[in-house]
Amino acid sequence: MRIAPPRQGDQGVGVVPMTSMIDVVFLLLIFFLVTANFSQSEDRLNATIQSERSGASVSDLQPQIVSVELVGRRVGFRIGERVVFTGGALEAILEQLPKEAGVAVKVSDLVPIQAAATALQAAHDAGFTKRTYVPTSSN
Amino acid sequence: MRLARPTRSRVLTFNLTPMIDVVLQLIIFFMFTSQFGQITQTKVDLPLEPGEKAVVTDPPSFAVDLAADGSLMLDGRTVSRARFLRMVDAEIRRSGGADMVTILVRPDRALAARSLNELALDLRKRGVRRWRIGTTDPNGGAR
Repeated sequence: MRIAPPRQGDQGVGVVPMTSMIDVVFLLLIFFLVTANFSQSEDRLNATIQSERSGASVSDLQPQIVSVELVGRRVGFRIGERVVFTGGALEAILEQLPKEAGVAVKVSDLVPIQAAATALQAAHDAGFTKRTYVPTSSN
Repeated sequence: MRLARPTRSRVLTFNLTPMIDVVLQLIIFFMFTSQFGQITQTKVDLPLEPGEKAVVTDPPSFAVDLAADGSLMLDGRTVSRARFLRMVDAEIRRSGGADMVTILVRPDRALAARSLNELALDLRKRGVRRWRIGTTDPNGGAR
């Protein structure tokens, strides 16, 4: 049998097997798709915990007090005599107050946790560095 | 004897088979380990707030989930409050004081604050004052 000799240009010089490369790339693609984190990133709100009965001493500065409670059927933020219903409005009030003594956020048992987080966020955005979470069962 | 010279056609070729084997093993390893890492993080509808811009450097002593039914979850498993508080007590003893303990609470935003308040009071009784409330940025991280 006569076999034709390979021609000069068909000697397989520098031929990389692309099939293997494609396999690897495909597996890498699947890997990153599976392990990619599509969930939303999380953040945190720092606060100290204070109970109602263990209040500050008389010599301490009195913090601003924000009560998160039900006002009718809505969740309201009471500060002094004023009641607001949005975090933005609460932040606007808190921005005008002295911040050295901090703020105490008194959270009623009946409000959703979202409201407590909104109050803490408003205090943070208004510039309060001392933020205290005060759980309260009274409403 | 007359020996034929080696022809130039025998050029070195890359043997990719071992490399593919190694890469495949690495992929399988990382897929397993990363999946286990995600399983421990329970999905919770956190409060929709942007949180603080400061980067938190110290990891919390505990990251406890407060599920929609008010139950506590640690590493995806439900734990009673009594058991969780025993773990907090042990951590206080181990770390040398309640001031060294930080709790990250990941609460469901629709849950009534009663569960969070009860947990806060229990922690306060033990002297733990530092905690963080987990939130989710409603803007998806863009502030």
